[in-house]
Amino acid sequence: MKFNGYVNRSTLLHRVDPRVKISWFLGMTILTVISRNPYVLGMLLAGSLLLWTLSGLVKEAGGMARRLLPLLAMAFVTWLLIGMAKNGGEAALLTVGSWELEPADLWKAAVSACRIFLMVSSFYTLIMATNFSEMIYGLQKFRVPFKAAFMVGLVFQIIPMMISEFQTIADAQRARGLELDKGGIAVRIRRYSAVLFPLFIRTIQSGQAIALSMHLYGLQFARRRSAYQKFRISGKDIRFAAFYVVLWSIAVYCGMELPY
Amino acid sequence: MVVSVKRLSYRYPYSEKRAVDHVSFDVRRGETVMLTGNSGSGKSTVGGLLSGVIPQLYKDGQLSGEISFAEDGGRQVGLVTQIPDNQLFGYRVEDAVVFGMENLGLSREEIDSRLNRVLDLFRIGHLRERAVSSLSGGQKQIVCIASVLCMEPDLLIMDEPVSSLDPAGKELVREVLKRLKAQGQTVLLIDQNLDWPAGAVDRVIGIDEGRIAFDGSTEAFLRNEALYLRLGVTVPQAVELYHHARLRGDFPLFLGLEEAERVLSGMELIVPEPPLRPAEKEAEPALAIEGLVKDYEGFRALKGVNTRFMPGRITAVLGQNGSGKTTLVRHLIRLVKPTSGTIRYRGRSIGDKSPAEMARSVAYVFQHPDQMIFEDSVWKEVTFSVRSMELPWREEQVTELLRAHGLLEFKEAFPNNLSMGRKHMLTILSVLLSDPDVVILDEPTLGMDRGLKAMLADLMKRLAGEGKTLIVISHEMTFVAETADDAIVMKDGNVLVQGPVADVFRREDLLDQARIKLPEITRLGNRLGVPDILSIPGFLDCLTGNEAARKGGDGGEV
Repeated sequence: MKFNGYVNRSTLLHRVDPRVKISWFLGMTILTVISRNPYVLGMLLAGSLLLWTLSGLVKEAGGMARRLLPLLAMAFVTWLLIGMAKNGGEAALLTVGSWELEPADLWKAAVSACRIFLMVSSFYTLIMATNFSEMIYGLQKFRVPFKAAFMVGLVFQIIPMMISEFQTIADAQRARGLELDKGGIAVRIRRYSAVLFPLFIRTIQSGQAIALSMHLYGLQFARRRSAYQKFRISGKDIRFAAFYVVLWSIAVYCGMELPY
Repeated sequence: MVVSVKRLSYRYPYSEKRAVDHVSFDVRRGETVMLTGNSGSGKSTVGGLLSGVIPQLYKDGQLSGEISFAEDGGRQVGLVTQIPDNQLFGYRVEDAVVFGMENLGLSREEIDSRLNRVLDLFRIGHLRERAVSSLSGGQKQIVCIASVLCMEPDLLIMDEPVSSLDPAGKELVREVLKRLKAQGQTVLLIDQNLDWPAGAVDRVIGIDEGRIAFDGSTEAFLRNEALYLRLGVTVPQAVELYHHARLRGDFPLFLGLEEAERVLSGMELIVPEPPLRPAEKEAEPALAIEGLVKDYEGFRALKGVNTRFMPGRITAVLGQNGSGKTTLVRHLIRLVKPTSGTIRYRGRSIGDKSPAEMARSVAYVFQHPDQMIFEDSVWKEVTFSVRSMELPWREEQVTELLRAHGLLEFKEAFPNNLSMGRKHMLTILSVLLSDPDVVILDEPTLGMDRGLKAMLADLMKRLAGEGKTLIVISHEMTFVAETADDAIVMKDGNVLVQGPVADVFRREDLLDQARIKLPEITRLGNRLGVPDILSIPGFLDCLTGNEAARKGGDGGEV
């Protein structure tokens, strides 16, 4: 999955205060973790779809879904096999030896895949619309120490650079005649050392550059910083938060009233 | 006085030699001083010591001597490094510029005032909301300078600020340097190229093997040819022309383009005959590209490129960053697959080849040597390609290759510890042992001093003489003019003009569109009505019939 998912646009979601976006992500994650009810998950999914549509991020979300497809398929099949191995006493749709495919197995597999999708997509939605500077600000407002918030921001800044660096180094070694795309696994692993070593060196160099930069800009975690950018919770933020609180409340209610 | 340095010495851990050896100098308020010298001469170490990076960040070396600042409140030194991507923190330009001020704990009002002042000074207010990652190299470097300047340092150190920039980026930084000077900002510029900032530099400090070799005015430095040659400093071409011309006659001094024009306009210059070109033979191109289109997500990088690369010739691919140069040449080794169009190598489509297969015939040296260097010794590194391809090679061959290019003494050294210029030379040599038919070099002069550049030019000409096809991407127009036979100018994924270098350089209108500035010597020739001048020897030929030249003798002053 592409990690550097920030989309540099000014959409509805982009304009929401980082604190509200982080809260939305936490709410989505908690509900996805605690609930296995298809109605609840369905409503969370509908909420996400609505958000992507209103924010004009459907294409990006679709791209993310496509990249997740192999993982989701694997999760679906795994849970399906686990379900088939256990006999739930329902009428089997399909029987292979002692393995029985029951309707509930299909549901469970679908629910598991859906939960994985929701967890990943919530995170992706957050980073699509929140750049690392806003992320640092938002985390600080949640009383996360600046050092920790800064490190999180740094990860978001560095990981895309390292991914790009990895690809460039691999190309540079291919251009020197190193065959990285053919041969057995052992051969490929050995050959990839010619990519990993320069990447290691470049990572160290980047680390040194960051340390140098922190020094040059006088960054000291023990010292109190000021903040130039001011975010204010606006009416729009409140409406956004209220909508999702209501949606989640309905989902939780449905989850309790319509047990699966 | 902003800073006074007395008997400063520094030895890196595990190093036998001092990188800086009893260096003393002062920098006065409002001065723009250039610290220059060969690769590895110790100039960046001096910058590190002045900024406190050594020993606060890089510890364990041996430091002696004294650095004293005018202000008692500690050192107020800002440092701008070579690669802005590595220095800037923050997603948007505004975030990146205010980062340092936030660390200083300044009030919002103060940050706002300084931010607006610096955005106005550099005329980058329109970039304020832009993502740093979306800026050009030059714009990023200016944001970097702005972010440091906002912290109001007494001394601003810029360490090779244009080394990774294209001509437009260099121009932007040169403008900024002039504005800083006009503002009275004290600047210490560390660079081995005095060609781009010459007009803005008040004083030059030359450093050689850690010791001060020169400290004086820019003019005095430029007058001293032996010195700048010894220090490996690239100077404006007008200065080089003066030093060559004075050997032929009693020339008045000129150290810049305008002065050269004034002096030479009063002289009779011989307009050279257009070069005789042999009748076009129907030679088979080494590589031919037809209708090449490359689409990325929502973006067309190449828009139907048609071109060819001939054996025995050096072809320069020119254009600003983002014009499609790198995308074009990456197709030649199959690192990028075309959306449509064909590429033929020696008449056969390369569509079914992998990059590694192509590398046997077409070698491609990347822009950043650190992305290629892998082995633990120079010797192993230079043999990497032939070993990867399981091709035969001889020890004598490697020894000779390293000796001829100044790397034999480093054969056991850890390649990553070499200077940038030497690393670049090493990666170039590493692809030559496999005897490729085509050699592609991406910005090969990056980090090279003039000695290494001359060595590289000789190497390229020798390879072309052997019938190999050389393709070079370069922003260094002087190097291109002196080395390349043909040029392809690209803009927005299209070829604007292509042909022999002299023909291409005559199309100033198109070069302007591509924001490519002709070499100083070519511009001087054009102003004086002698077109097609690509090098200093070429210009000297025009002076041959001159009255001054006929006098003979060395009338210059050193």
